[in-house]
Amino acid sequence: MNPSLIQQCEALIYMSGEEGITKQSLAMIMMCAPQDIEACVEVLNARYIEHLSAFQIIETADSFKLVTVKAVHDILALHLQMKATSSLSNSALETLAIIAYRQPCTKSIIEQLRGVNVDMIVRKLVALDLIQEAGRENTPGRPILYEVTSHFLDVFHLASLQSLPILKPIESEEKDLYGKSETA
Amino acid sequence: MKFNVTIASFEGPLDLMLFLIKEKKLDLFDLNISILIEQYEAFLNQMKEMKFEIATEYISELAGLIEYKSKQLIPQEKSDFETEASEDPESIVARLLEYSAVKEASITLKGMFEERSKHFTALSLSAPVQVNVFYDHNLHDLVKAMNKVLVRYKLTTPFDIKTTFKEMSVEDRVDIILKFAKSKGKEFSLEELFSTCESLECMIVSFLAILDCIRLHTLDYINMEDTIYLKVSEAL
Repeated sequence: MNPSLIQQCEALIYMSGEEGITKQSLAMIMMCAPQDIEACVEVLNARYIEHLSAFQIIETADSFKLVTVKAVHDILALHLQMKATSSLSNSALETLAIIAYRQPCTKSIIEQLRGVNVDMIVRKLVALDLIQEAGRENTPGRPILYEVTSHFLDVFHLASLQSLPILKPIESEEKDLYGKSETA
Repeated sequence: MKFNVTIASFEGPLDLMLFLIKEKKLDLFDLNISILIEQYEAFLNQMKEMKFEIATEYISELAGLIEYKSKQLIPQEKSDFETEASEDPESIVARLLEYSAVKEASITLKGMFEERSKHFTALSLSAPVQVNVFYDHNLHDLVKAMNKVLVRYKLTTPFDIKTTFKEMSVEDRVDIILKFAKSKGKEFSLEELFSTCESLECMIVSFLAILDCIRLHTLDYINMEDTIYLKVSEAL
């Protein structure tokens, strides 16, 4: 691997900060193949681990980002005066999961599946920039369709929607569905 | 039948049904609906006794369950003109199955969220961008940009606590912003403008002033690569 290529790659990812930079744009700027970028990131990450660096490169929403490692989370949280790691409520997570797996989908689909009103939670998720409107469905009332944002992919550390955890296949044996919890 | 459960908090009626099905070891694919209804009703009654308020959604799902059961009891007539039922009889089972899959996925997602939130990123270091495009109007972008400014402000002054009282009028700020814009002569980013603000109040007043300027068409703005650029309207 060309050392200057690795250097360039590191600099570009560093500069892109929280917005990150895609493999394609990196390849275009550095005039090399996307595979080379992958190799660079691999070398960099290995180097970071070797030198016990505070950084690592992750891929979310198709972009590479330079992030601090988990080990320094506590001290940084203290410095930034962050309260306990903000978390998402179960209802927010369920709603997000439904949208992510079935997007674009309407509020009524979510309501049908969860059996509760989701007006407030959808509004909250839009405000958190985790979901966004994606046009309207061509059915009576033309309901608004929702889809997840790239910010969603970022906060769940997903390279793309394809990397979502696989929904457990539904099998006609009840034991399979609950096997885990019953032994627990 | 004796009924004893500890009250856990449920995310909704389906969550409760799943819990009951699991508790009574019912088979989702050969659902004994009467047992489920019995348990479900008993649970709601217990909630009532304990003076918990029962959300209407739970009662509406109970009605759905009873409807499903009654459909099972009535012998089904095969008709040539079979119209599609308003609700597929299997739908409650289908919903429960999908819901349980989603619920499981959401638990995995929660773990992923917590892992990711332990990593921090720095704000991007952006070099000046040459802008030369038309100016469109989408207020949502402006609000998003304002949020970004506020986050940046908060991160750069994490330990600063001050209590001050200041009066600022939007009109005065409009004049200052227009002067600033004219002195620039060309496009400037929202961040650039807000860097001249020394307090949060000033930023809010500036934001209102910018909205006012856009309303009166004295300023144009554009969103480029998540950065808002402003300039004095050419019509002026």
